Amino acid sequence: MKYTVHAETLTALREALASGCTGVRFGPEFCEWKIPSQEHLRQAYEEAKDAGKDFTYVLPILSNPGIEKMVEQLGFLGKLGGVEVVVGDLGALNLLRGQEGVKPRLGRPRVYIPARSPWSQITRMPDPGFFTRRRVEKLFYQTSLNYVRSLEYFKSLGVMGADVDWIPKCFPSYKKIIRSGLKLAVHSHAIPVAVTMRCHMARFLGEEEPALCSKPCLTKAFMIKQKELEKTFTLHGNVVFRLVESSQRETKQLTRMGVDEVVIPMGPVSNLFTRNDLDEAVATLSGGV
Amino acid sequence: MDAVDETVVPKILAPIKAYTGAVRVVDAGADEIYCGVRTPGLEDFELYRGASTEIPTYDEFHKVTEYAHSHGVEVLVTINQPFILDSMEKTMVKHIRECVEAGVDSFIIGDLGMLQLVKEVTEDVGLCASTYLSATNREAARFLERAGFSRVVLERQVPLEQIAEIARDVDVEVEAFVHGSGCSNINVNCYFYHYKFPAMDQAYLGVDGIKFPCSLPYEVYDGEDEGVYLGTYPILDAYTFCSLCKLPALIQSGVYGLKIEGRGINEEYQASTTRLYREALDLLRQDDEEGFQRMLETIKESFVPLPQTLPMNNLQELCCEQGRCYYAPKFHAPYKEKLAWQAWTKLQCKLLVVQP
Repeated sequence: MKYTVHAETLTALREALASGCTGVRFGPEFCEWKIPSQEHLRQAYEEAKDAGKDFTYVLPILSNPGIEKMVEQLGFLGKLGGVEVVVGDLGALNLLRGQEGVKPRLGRPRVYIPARSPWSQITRMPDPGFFTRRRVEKLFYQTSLNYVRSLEYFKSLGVMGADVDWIPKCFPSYKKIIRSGLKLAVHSHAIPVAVTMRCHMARFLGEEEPALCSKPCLTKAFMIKQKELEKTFTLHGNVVFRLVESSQRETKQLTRMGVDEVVIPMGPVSNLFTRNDLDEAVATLSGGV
Repeated sequence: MDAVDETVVPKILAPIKAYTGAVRVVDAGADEIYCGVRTPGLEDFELYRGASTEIPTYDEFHKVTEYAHSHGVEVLVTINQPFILDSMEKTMVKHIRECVEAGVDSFIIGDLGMLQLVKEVTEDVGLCASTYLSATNREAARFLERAGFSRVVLERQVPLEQIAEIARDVDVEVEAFVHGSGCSNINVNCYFYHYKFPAMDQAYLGVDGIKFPCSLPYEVYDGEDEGVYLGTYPILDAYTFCSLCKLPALIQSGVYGLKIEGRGINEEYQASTTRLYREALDLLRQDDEEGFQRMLETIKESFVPLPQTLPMNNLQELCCEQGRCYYAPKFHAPYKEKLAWQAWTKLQCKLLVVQP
């Protein structure tokens, strides 16, 4: 199983490349205003290649201007040949259709997992009863890729993999996806609970325009607490995350299942900024193996 | 104001959850109606919306289609789940067949696997891509067109100028939301399900307007546990939304349909909102700018709860004065303020009329 580090900036990427990770992911997973310039993308790719690490480009949900930007970048990636691109958006997938040099995989925004919810309730019914609860639970811990027609449809479009979250109760459903032939990447540390195109953090900090945003989320995350619900989340830019603990036993389980990749996020959500932080994180997850 | 070409006046899509509601919205001027129909075997599996927002039986749904069709109104059924599983397939096949038999015109579909299934079960219905498919750009709309959809509902967060670009660049019908409770987050990428449980009810105490988890106050800290306390804010605030003032621009954008939210809300709301948008669109169709502006002013400024202002509960205080028009830029919109006592009194008066 590969341990891949996800970096959103060139500086972070260089730390990742200096760490013991197997590969790197570059690009914003959720915010299109953090899409790197064509020049930064080229540099990132070349530095990863020089360091002998696998390179994957990550794309968020895109607006019309975001799509315009992608047309040029995807053309560049297509010429390189064999680069994996994580798409958070059907529009990007449409652009990749027929581009033989690029291998698309579905990003987390494109894989629906009900169990990302922070509520422990799994039904609106106030008192569902034991058997109903069991039946609903079985549905709750599956994903939108646990349907053969969905899987086959995406595969017919050239999709070769998908990204999911570290939710141990969902692992059995992940196993089925792997059996179907898709390569699965499991994200550690944080589960996205809500994503917006209107940035909650930028609004709070009084950023004037998205295009001119100073991108405070590259170094900062807020902890937000709802007192009555006794819930704590991490607000990072336009995403609300809930943090998740990972254990070595679970890592072993993922390895046995045939998971292709564990993705470790850099930045203020995971609090991983340096190569040492990353090496420690990989060691903690893998048990030093 | 330019005269509006009759052929480009968008359709009004009204929500319903019962036959009686269908009669009222059709009479109020809906061009199309949309609803959920309860799916036997999946009633307990409720993520975003509950069974109470759906037409309870196929027989009642049949009555809906009969009434709507007799008035030239099409009926769309939304397949409520944002995904389908192998274990749900048999149930869904039966559901699709029952709806087709009862006269559905189109299905609103939120999953590409579900689309394949519907196409296999029936060829006689329209296929409409739900917001669950998050169409936020022209390429996503093109993708959905190639997948077989004849209509695409754009994600709520697509700004007005981009709606116009998408409507211009694609061959499918494009639909946009115009009125309702709004969403702070991208529809299918939000897992703050609107479940009710005791702690949630407790948390909603003192929250004005729409009560969703994203409208709750949150204590905000800079950094981790030891971080600096920055205050308590509705930092994930939901936007109550209204597009009445933006109707001329929406017509110019070339959208096919204007969708009113509110399958879960009462029939009074469903009918009066439909009537309000019908009247506004009709004024614009007749090129009566003065009448349209007069209508807006009446709605914004009336203190007395006029019947036509019912769906606009505290519009002035919650939307207009706080810069919360649906299609206005919201990047730095202020957080909702507590209602003043006058506004609170007005809201209670209106609620008394809506829910006698």
